[in-house]
Amino acid sequence: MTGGAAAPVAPDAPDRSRRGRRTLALVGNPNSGKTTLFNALTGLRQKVGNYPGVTVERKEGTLSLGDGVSFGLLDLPGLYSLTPASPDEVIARDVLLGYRRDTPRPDAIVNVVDASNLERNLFLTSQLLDLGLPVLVVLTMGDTAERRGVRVDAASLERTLGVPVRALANGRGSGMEAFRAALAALPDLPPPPSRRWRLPEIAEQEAEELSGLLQRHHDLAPAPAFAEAVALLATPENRSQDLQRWAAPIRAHVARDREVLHGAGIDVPMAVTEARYADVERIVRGAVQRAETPPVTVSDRLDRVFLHRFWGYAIFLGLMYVIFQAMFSWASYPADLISAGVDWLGGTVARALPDGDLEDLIVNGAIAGVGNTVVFLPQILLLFLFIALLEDTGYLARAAFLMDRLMSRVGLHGKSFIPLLSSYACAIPGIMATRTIESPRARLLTILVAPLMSCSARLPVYALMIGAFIPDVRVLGVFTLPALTLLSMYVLGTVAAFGMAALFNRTLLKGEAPTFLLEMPPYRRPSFRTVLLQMGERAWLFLRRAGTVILSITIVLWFLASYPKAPGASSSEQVRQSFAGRLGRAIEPVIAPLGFDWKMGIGLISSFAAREVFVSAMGTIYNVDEDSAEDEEKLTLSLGEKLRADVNPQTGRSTFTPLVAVALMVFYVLAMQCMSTVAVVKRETNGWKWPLFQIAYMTALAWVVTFIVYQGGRALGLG
Amino acid sequence: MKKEPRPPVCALGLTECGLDCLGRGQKARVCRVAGPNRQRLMELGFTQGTEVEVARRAAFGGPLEVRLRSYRLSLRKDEAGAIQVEAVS
Ligand SMILES: Nc1nc2c(ncn2[C@@H]2O[C@H](COP(=O)(O)OP(=O)(O)OP(=O)(O)O)[C@@H](O)[C@H]2O)c(=O)[nH]1
Ligand SMILES: [Mg+2]
Repeated sequence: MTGGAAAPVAPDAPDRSRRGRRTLALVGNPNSGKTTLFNALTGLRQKVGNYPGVTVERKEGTLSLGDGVSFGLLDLPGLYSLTPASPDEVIARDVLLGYRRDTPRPDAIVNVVDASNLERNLFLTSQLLDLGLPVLVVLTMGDTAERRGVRVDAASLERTLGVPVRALANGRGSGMEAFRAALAALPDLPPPPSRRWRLPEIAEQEAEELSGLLQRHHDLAPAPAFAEAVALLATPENRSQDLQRWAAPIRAHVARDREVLHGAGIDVPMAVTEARYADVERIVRGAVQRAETPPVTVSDRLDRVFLHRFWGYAIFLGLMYVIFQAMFSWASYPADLISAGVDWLGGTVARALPDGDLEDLIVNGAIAGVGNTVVFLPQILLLFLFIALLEDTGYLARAAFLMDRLMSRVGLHGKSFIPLLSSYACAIPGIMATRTIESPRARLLTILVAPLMSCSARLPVYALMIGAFIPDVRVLGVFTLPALTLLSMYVLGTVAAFGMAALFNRTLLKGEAPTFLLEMPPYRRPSFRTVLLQMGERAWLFLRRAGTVILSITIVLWFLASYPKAPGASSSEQVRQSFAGRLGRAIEPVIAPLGFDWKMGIGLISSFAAREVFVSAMGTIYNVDEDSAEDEEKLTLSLGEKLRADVNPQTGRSTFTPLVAVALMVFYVLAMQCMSTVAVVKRETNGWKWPLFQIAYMTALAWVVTFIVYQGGRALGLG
Repeated sequence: MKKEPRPPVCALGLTECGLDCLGRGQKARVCRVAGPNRQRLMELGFTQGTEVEVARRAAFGGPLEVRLRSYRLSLRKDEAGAIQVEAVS
């Protein structure tokens, strides 16, 4: 083998008696139902959603087919073609063609085809059939197709394509047993019959020559070699980085071919695409029956409203407001219940244990710390309920359409909307979702500003501050002040994200307007199961974090706040003298201009592990800071009440005021206080440069804006 | 292999313009595609002779929503402008 390090991993020789189990790969257009099928076949619970680009990673599961037959099954990101345009497509293509060292080339392809969108889906099928691997076609979305008056004849399709075709609905249905049998037989099937389309004669010859070179230099079998040759000839010149993995003689040949073909007036990409589509059109004509007049679908009717030039935007804003109002008002009852439960537990444990350090650690450290965080579970669940509904109905793609104009003004992308909206839940999946963005510049820009979107880990901080310091009064009749304040925090994060994107777009990352190509999925009724699973998954993650990260940090913090012991000192003096107190006081000069004292400083520092730790840190500090004599009464105070009661011994004024609370929330909106996000940004941008830049700019931004808010508020006499 | 008979497209070049010149609800046939996303647009189905319809245009000069090959795609005005079409009366 030649070609050095850039050569592809040698594809497996035709005999398939390799070590390890055989694998099948689910391949198909985005949003065609691959993950739904993957979950049904493997019993796993990968994320499903009604927009293109839900899956952005390779996932492997086990497919047990009975009789001791078991395969690996790969779920891949969606592909429109084998010439990838975005990072998620690169992943799918590389796995499929065996370019990745960590994944052996799959032994067969399960091609998921959306029956309601047959032509474009079969275009990819036409490419897959040329790869020399056995293919099974699965037709999904038969129900959607019927509603559009389209009926696909699987048997006829099977005859023309020469590979097995099976129809399934939602990864279930009566045909499932037969389908499993077909899967079991798939890897031993012969590869699909020979190519059904031809290039113009000169191009055909050049492709054959190139295919010969590929077979010689890279050990490719004839079918995949020819497919690769066509792909190489069709690769646009501005994407020549795709050529790097091939041996030098091949690169030279491609360059010469381009000249020859250009001279002959043959446009290979166009010739190939048109030949394939012409073939696909013939196949579809034979296999599809259409209603005389296509019915007006529900999706069409809904979009007349949801994408209306005026009402579309009004509804969008209204929806966003309803979500925030609901998060505040609906969540309060279960939150009160949890809070009462935590208090009861703390009280019971305190009575059961003898007074002393152990009691203090368990009651004030563990129970108060974790309990104060778990109280926010209902709000987090509601947030995820709404996000799951937006994703599963298909509204998310509409929102991206409506917001694209605004996005393009700041160099972002309509598709950036989806990662940014996911970042309201958590920046990590949000940043991963940027893999669907074709333009590297727009992708980087989205990654840089995504952590400014207010994530669910900030919610406990807002909720604590708002609950304690923002009076529950009605404004303008319909709004309540707490909900409005919460909404403002989300608006602030969003405005900051757009503003910073605009700034970077004009300075650091100048360039052309990125492309925006987004498929509009039909509306679908959200699946109860999908929504519940997603909420359950997030709830579990949140509780697990509370039980691990937050619990351990709280315990460490309890030690830091309780030692060294200052015998005879009052309990607030004790905290001041402790390790944590010293640390807090060390950074106090930096944060004092923002209205924060050293206790908040401790909270800010511990938030770097996870933002919601702020709440449990306050819980621990304010509980340790209590004279045991008076604590029977004080224990029953909520954390919010304790914060309100706290007085600065030097000035005699309250430590926390509504202005300080607002300043603190503003700081939390803008500051980068999340290790996991830093790690993900480093991975997605391949280096330390961008995550470090991001920490620097966000910290500076947070400090400056909070300073303006606090000092401005004081100048106006608000604090 | 024999070519399927196709209606002659874009032969006269009289009524040609970029896809972004069409109004809402107007139909056209694709002549040719240019620009940096040429290949992707062709793969998405904008091949010569394909019938396309502008389903709607977002407010404030935002993206267009286009129907082709019985699916819906939104794209920005710039990208739409790179697709030369011939209006169908
Ligand atoms: N009506 C109908 N909907 C389906 C069917 N199969 C899947 N869906 C829905 O189609 C949407 C997309 O499904 P996914 O499984 O996430 O699709 P995917 O191919 O994995 O999508 P990407 O990961 O984005 O490439 C979801 O809303 C599913 O609930 C089906 O047979 N009929
Ligand atoms: Mg998927």
